[in-house]
Amino acid sequence: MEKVIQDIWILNDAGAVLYHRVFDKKVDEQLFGALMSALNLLAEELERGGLSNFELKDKKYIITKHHGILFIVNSSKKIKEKKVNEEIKSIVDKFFTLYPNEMFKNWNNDVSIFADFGNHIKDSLQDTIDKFEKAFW
Amino acid sequence: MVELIILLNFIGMIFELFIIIFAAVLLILILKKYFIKHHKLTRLLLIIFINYFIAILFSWISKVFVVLQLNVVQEGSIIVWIYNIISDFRLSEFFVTIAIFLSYILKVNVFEKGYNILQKYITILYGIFACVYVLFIYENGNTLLDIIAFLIVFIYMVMVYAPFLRRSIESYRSVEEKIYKQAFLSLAIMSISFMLIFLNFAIDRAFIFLGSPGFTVFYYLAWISAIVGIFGAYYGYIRPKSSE
Repeated sequence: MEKVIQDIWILNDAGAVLYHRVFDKKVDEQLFGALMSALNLLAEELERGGLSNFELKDKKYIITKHHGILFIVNSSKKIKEKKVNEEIKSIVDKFFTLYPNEMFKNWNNDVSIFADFGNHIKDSLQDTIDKFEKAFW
Repeated sequence: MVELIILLNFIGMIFELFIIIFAAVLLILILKKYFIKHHKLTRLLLIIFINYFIAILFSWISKVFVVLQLNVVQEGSIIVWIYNIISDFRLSEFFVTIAIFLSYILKVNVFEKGYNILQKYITILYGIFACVYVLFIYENGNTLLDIIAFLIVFIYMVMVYAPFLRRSIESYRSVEEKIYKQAFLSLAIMSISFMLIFLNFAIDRAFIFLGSPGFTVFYYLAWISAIVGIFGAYYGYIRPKSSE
């Protein structure tokens, strides 16, 4: 079952990776060159809480920034943009519910507190199928 | 005219007997599934279909009343009230309303990440209103009140099963595996069918209001929708086997 959102990176302003989930390990090295140049280009829009994307090989990368935290995700090109955007919104909301903005004021740079974030962000389609499998299929 | 009504009810009684058999088979399959899965959502689905089954059973009993010419003569007694709410489909509508409310809980649990508070209270309040109407706003021989009752249940069906339909179609479009695609498509067909049942019944009653003896094509369309819905539920909930 293909996930709507595949890989996820969450970074703070200083560039520290707070959380990442990478299914395709080969992606990292290919990604960062393109990613950094894209970020430079899109910085202004991202500062306004916008959402930008670019395509690399068979994947679509989406970048968004909220309260100084950068969310970078990728998904298959086959998945509709609306569906991906819904999932990103859900991830961002969940992140700030679990780790409120105020928490970062007194944060001691210990990224281990974000380690279990993955348990909270099953995508909705996968979640629905999991429920159907457990209860009916 | 009396003979014609008895004959139409007899045909309806036989037709509904087949629906009862289909529904009973589905119920047994859900029960079997529950014994395998022991999951709260399987139990919820079982309770939903028990309610639908009871509704169909009371509808069938109402035909039996007419065919066997069973009448209750104790004016104002509770037995007369029970007889009337059975014979005019009201008790069936009550059980369907309960099933719809439980379907809402099922829908939220499988398709959503939580309850929308406003939507939840609207669903609860409308459900209570529908139950009160179908059980108590009744007047013997007043077809207009019956049409309204059917429409109230139809609206409740749409309130719950239209979002269920939308979610099923979204999942159908998003998923790639054939087995899951078929399952979500079946659930979408089930949702449409369930909504059509009460729309057709309301139209049938409207014809009665206009002087028809009833059992129009819409009565049969309603029950055909029920059969399609039963098959949709089977292919959506029961038939798919996960690869895990």
